[in-house]
Amino acid sequence: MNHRDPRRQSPHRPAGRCLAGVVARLLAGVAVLLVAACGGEDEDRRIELRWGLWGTPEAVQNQRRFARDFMRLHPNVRVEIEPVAGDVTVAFSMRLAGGDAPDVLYAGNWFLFEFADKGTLLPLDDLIARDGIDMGQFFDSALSGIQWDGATYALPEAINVEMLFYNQDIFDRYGVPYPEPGWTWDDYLEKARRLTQDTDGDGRTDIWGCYVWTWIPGFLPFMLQNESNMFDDDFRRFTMDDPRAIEALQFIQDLIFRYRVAPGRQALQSQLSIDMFASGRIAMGSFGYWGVRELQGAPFRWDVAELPRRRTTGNVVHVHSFAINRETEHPEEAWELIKYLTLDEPAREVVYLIPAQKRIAAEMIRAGNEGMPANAEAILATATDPNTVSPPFGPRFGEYSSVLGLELDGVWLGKVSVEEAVRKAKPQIELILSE
Amino acid sequence: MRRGSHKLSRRLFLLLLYAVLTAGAVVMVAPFLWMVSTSLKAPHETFMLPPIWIPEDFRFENYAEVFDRLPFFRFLLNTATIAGLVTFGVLLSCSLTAFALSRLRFRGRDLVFYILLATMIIPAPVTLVPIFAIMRRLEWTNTFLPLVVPAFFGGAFPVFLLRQFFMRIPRDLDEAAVMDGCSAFGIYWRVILPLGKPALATIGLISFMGAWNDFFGPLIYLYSIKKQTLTLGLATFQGYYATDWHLLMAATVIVTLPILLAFLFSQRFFVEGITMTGIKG
Repeated sequence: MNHRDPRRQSPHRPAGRCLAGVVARLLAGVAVLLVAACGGEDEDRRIELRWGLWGTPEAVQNQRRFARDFMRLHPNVRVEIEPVAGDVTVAFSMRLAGGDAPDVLYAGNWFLFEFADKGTLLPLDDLIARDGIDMGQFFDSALSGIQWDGATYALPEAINVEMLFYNQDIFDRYGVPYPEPGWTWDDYLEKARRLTQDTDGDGRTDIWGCYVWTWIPGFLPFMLQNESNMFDDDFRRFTMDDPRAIEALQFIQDLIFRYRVAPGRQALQSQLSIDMFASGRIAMGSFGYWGVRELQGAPFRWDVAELPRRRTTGNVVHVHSFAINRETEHPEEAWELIKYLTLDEPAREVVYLIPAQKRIAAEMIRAGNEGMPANAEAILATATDPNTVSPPFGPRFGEYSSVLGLELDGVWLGKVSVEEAVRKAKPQIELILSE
Repeated sequence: MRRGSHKLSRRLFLLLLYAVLTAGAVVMVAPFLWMVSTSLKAPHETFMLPPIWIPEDFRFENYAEVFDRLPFFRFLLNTATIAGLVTFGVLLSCSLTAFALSRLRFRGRDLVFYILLATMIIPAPVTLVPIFAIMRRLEWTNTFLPLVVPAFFGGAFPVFLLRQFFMRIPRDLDEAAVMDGCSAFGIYWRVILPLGKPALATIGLISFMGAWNDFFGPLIYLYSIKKQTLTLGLATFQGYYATDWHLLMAATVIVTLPILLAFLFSQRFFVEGITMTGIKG
């Protein structure tokens, strides 16, 4: 170092100025790069609509195309796509709270009413009436996922119901008849017992007869089938201590611990149940309609059936919809966008969900497209069944569902009785509801 | 005879050593190979029991599908821009700070250093909301600025690592440079930086990897698909209902590759940097 020619560095130049100069130049360079990286195109489009979305990669891919098509129809609007990674509810509530949310939000009924209750969404009833939109074209179950307290907060895009998926190869191997329309819990249990197998004789179950998700969309259908629900009609009283509700939960606990025909937490470990079904280790499982997507190319024959019934039928619906941020500066354009997405061409291109429009859903299901299960008619029957309803995803859902989840944990681990868990949850949940 | 047995025991020792090293290598490499294997599978093969290591057909189209479904090139460009600027910012600001804290003499120097170290105690989640609020006020959300600008203001750990390294460079060199008429900045630029290369490479690699793999920062600051990064793209494959493991793994291979190459090329510096900061009094 020290043998370098000292004249190259002027001894009189103060270090500070030199350093500041270098830093200033570097920062200027960075600023130029950043501006270049962030610079927008399409400067002549005056109105910018931000659209927050999420979903399967296919859906996101499609929605990018819908945005481009919409811009072609509306040359003054630029649609900026904002895909949300991770927890959608958290991301949207954070951006809504920060006043930095998209104008149009892709919503699910499991968080829509929480946002609506906070006044962050635009009620759409006036716009619907003004433009004369016939809400009767949608499934009733879809409407149950967008309307709360007499107001409509979104237009529905698609619904998703729970279906019973069964592996026909396993049924055939053990000579068990396939589920038939109108089948009951008793049939379900009887089949599950015959299908549960220890194929290598090591004392551990290799094929499970059935699988039930031990969370609200999984157990609520059983409660509905037994003519019970989580709350009373005006959402004040927690009704899971009703004997019929308890009987339903007890049935599921028994499947796991008494009859040992369904995998408990330990057998599932971290594996997703649909992956376990896809690898042929579950004979019957109730999954959302989206399961169809995961089973494409499965190396066995499978089909879907209606869920079994008890006193009546019962199923839950997830509703995907588009809502408008109340703070948007462009409500008219946002409304045009969500109308386009739910009533125009995009409504026909719902992937791996059931279109919310009855006519389109029927066409899609009856078209017999590749990948559609043979008994697709059962999906339609479930979607139109009056006992297929939106779960009680009320405004305080986040709070009371976490209380319920904690109390039911012991039930699904086989350590606590259903009665005890429900009794402990009741006062806590009713306190939340009364606030 | 004794020589022979000595040789034999040495050979046995080597054999054992290699056996242990091989076992270690297998344990480390297996998840990586599993990732590559899964990335070439059909969806239903990913959870087969017994596990399939070599898929029936190599589905290279999984990789094409990743690029098809998401604007991956854009994500790659964004990630590279952010990671490059962050690395540059950290190297610049932290080497200058570390230089001042190790070579210049001024009142309160050590106090400043200890205060800086103390900031390491504050967990990041505590400052998350205030920082987000500041960025929002500045209207920097949905730009790269909240991710890049902080790098130009130093950080406790890199400053600490660099300072410890710089302390060990003999002061005689500075004095000789001053004798030859070098300014303080000249010492930094001509003496400390060239000699500090191993430590700088370590810091550079850590910052680059940190920024490249950062999920949370982009998650809360980058909204628009045009500005998002690879890690956010990866998360898209973990859908609301189910995960496309084969595509997720293909995308992960693509995301990991640059880091892997960066590490292979700078591995020598990297290891040197860590060991040299650890030893010598």
